[in-house]
Amino acid sequence: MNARKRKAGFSALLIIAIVAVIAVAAGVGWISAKKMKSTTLVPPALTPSVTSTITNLTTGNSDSALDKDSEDISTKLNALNHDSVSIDQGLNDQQGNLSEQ
Amino acid sequence: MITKKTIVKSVTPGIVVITLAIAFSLGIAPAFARESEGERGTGPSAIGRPGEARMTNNIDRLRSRGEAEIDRRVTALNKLLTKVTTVKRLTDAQKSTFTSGIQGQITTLTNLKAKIDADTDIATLRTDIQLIVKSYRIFAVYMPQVEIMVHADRLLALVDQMNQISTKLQARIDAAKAAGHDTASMQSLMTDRTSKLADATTQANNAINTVMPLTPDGYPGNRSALMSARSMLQTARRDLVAAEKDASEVRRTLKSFGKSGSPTTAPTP
Repeated sequence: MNARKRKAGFSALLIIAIVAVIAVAAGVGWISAKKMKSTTLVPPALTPSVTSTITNLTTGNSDSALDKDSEDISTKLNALNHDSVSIDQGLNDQQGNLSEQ
Repeated sequence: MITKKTIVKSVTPGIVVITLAIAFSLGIAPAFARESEGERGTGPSAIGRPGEARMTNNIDRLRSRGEAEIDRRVTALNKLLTKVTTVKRLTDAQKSTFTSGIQGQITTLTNLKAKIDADTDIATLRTDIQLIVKSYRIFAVYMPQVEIMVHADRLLALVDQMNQISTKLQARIDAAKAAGHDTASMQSLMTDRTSKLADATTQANNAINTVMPLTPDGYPGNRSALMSARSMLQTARRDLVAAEKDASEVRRTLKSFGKSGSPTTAPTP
């Protein structure tokens, strides 16, 4: 009786395992088929450069005025770095994938 | 009782079933995935007509890629149009040349996209896709060309501001000297700053003059000119950073005069 019970339990486990494997295999096949379909490769759009705001210098040449001017210049120097990224993106641009495959 | 024989006996059919299941699902799932994507108004289901389904998929794929590339370029060109108008160093005539060229390309690509959208056979579609490929040179030149001019223009505007700050600093140095402070080191820094700002101006103007005459017809040969202009602007930026560092040193010294109180008497020659 116990042997029969064990045998029945074992068979049920086997059936469950088979079903699970079939499901996983089907899922893997589905995912790989989706990936095989063409995906349009779109190169990233160019980053627009930061528009530096035109600000007037402070009046006067006190320490605080000169410090404020210096902050303004630093901000604009950093904005130039963004511009240089845009230049590089333009120079390194690659045409999108226009093949049939 | 579970014996080795029992295990083998019960597992073997399972292994056979698993193997068949894997083979079956890997074979049928891709076909099922393709089928469920749907087809673009070309008639009955592709099941049973694999050649027709493949052709339709090719058309869809090619059309999608073509449209995506056009969208990408049009978006970038529209941003470029806005940027061109901000370049102060360009004359109105020069701006007009660039804007009409860029707008013309936008119009051409937009019309081409509409045509591609209406194409129904692969041969016509391929011809239209080739037009996208051939027009790439226009995009490939305009993008870096305009970005270089915009950058050089901003750089020159910054040089103007830094020259104004130099005037302020010089006034402070002169006042400090009149008060008896030793200003030799600061004067040396200001000389270096003036030199750096002048070089930055030269580099930026040269960059504009280098890229201004470039045309899409010269692509890809004119890439070297674009790279050269890029290097000039890198040099100009380094000049500005060095000039700002000089100003920072001058400000620090001027502040120290204020903190120290009595001036350091300049040595009598």
